Amino acid sequence: MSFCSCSGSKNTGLRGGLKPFKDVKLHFAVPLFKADGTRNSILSTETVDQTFLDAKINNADVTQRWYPIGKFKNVTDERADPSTETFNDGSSQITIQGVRTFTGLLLDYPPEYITNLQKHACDRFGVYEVDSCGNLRGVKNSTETQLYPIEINKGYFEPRLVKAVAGTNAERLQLTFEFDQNEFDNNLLMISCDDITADLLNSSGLIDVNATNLTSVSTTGFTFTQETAYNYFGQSVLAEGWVLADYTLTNNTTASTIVITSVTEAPNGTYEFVIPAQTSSDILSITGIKDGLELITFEFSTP
Amino acid sequence: MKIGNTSFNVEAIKNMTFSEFEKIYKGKYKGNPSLKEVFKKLGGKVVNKIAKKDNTEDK
Repeated sequence: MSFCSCSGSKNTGLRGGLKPFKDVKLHFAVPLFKADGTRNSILSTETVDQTFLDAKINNADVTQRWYPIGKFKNVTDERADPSTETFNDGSSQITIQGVRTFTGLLLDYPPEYITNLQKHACDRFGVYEVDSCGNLRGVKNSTETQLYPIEINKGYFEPRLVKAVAGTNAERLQLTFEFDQNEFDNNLLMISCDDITADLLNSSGLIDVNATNLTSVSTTGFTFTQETAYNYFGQSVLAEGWVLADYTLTNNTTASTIVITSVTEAPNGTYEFVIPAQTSSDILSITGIKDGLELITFEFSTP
Repeated sequence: MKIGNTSFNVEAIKNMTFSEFEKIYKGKYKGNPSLKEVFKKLGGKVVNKIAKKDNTEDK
């Protein structure tokens, strides 16, 4: 795709009633590609309602999941002047468009949140933008049948802590990133908030749950405690009320799913698993999702 | 199926004898009904050993 395409219409008329995209309040970070190599997109035939949004945010496949980031304050999103070549007669020619850079502030986020933000840049990813009206914007394909996330330059995605200054500003995180240089502004297209029934602006991503105190590991069972992330030092908030159907257990050694026999929660937040007998020294991994929480996959070996 | 604080895979329990079930859950299950009642509720078949001549259990 090029910004200097000369084919097609040059007409300059514009029908009335089109609303502009307003200030960005939230991003949905989305991997560019699914595990099967196809691109993540919103199809023109899909309706962005709450069911659609919940399925995206809670998708068990991390390569298809949407990760809400925001709401942002003090957003700046500007494209730098283009690079040019200047000739002896003083005239210039544009050689490449300037880089578009986004900066926004995230209030009330702990410093350790930086770690999860940074991980987005481990693979190619993009963002759908949501403005203060609830419009959603991405990049159209050539036939306008798919809306892709806007690709981020994963080499420049920098969340940082900005500490408080007495009387001036509270502590916050600042997220700065560049959009990919192959993203052109003329390909941006939005889904109007009039066509969206999902509550995009108040969406929130899954919260990490970490397994701790793995005990009683045998070939037929194991026990661990579940704690949610982002607590004060020494404090733990347990993830309670999970049941068998919330978990996925895999035998990595045999590359097979294990059908869990039972899960007992006792005391609250601690779960005892009974499973069919596995072979000694097999590597097992467990993960799970429930009510906006995700048990981060962890591996262990049978004795 | 959740009984007390334990959620069971009913299909897995159906394939167990009560002895196997008892061996796993005796002393662990914190529910109010007896272990035999839980086993029945989950679709397991409890056979009266005395009534059977060969003193075995059915699945």
